[in-house]
Amino acid sequence: MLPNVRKFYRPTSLEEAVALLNSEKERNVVLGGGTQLALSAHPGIEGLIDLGGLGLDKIERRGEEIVIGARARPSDLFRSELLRDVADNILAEAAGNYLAEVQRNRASIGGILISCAAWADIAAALLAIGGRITIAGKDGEKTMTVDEFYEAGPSKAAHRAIITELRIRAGGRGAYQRLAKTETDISILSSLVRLDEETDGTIREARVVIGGATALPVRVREVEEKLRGKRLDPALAEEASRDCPIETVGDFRASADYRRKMAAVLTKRALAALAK
Amino acid sequence: MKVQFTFNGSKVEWDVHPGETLFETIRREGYYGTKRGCNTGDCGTCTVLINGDPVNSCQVFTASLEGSEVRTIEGVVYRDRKTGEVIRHPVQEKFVEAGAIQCGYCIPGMVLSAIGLLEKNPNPSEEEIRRALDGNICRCTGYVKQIEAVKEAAKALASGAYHPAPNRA
Repeated sequence: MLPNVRKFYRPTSLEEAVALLNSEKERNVVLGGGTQLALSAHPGIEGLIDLGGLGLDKIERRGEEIVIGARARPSDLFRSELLRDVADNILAEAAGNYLAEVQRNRASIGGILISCAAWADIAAALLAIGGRITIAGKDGEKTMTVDEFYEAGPSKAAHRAIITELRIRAGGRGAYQRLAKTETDISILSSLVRLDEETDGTIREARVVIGGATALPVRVREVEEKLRGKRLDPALAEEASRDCPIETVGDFRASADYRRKMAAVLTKRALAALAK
Repeated sequence: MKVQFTFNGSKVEWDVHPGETLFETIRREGYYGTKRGCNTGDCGTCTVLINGDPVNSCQVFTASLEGSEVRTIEGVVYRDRKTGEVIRHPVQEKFVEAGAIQCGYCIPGMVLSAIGLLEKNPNPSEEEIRRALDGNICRCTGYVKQIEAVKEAAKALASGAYHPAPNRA
């Protein structure tokens, strides 16, 4: 219950939604799925801008890209046939591990990105897949890579603006390893890999991402460097992942030391699964 | 503000606060089958079906449901094809038979999650059943019997002996 909300807006255009978000007169916030906002009792929120009427919930193929509307739900991603063509379906798999079915059916991918849900493997999967994010603000639309989005920090990257869609490149191979106390708990740590290879198997681009270690998912450049330009066999999988340096913190799920050690273990498993 | 949607098969227009959750609305309107558990989105006890999908009603703004279809446990009764008698939903029936209920508090939510699954996927694997129920926490029975009950309900529904009763709000 947001006690001080007086207005509920259902804009029919993006321009209208952006204008409401930039209102000087009242403090409006964007409502995607609402799964996080509905649990809040923030007294400062005066208006809700429901994105439900803007048609942002589609997942479609445009040329070599898969375009995911910001209001697509984790359950839509999990069931999407189109995502199977992207890095062996790791994004859909991570979407399937987002909390529980009763939230996967309502949360939105844009909301997960903007709320900085670092504990969600789906956020790490997006960084591993390496897409572009389209953001609409009062100066029009801009796009940035997921890398740039996380570098700037979600709240800065999309300040008073609305994430409208994600565009990701089809193809590639991928692997996803996670460590959790129980199957339905959030991950203590996750390792996600995307490889784009030449026809002879030489790695053109490697993206190796650790989720759950810090406030945002991170790429492990040291491991990526060791993979680039080579063919992945079991020996390289072992060698490249031996040192997987990450910054991390301890919490009640695991100590920082344990997370540091497991980052290498999970990455080794992910790479071993892709080795030929 | 006014919101119109379909509630348990009937069109309703309810007066709601723009910042209130569906859970708060349902209880105020007198439908007590939807239980309050944690109110933090963690337990699944307040699950309802929105356009056929199980969702925590504590995590949804009622105002966002204009034009949607909402079902609570009160809206899932069935009618026997032969006798015309109003009966429990096969999922409820099989929960009782399997002994999948102890205190019963989590059961409306769990039954709705199971119905949401079976309407989309009439013949789910055990893995799919587990995934569908993963948001519904039960602190007494455990989960094995509910999974058995959902398997049995799938068989019962496939037998064609049941069909939905006229809905009543």
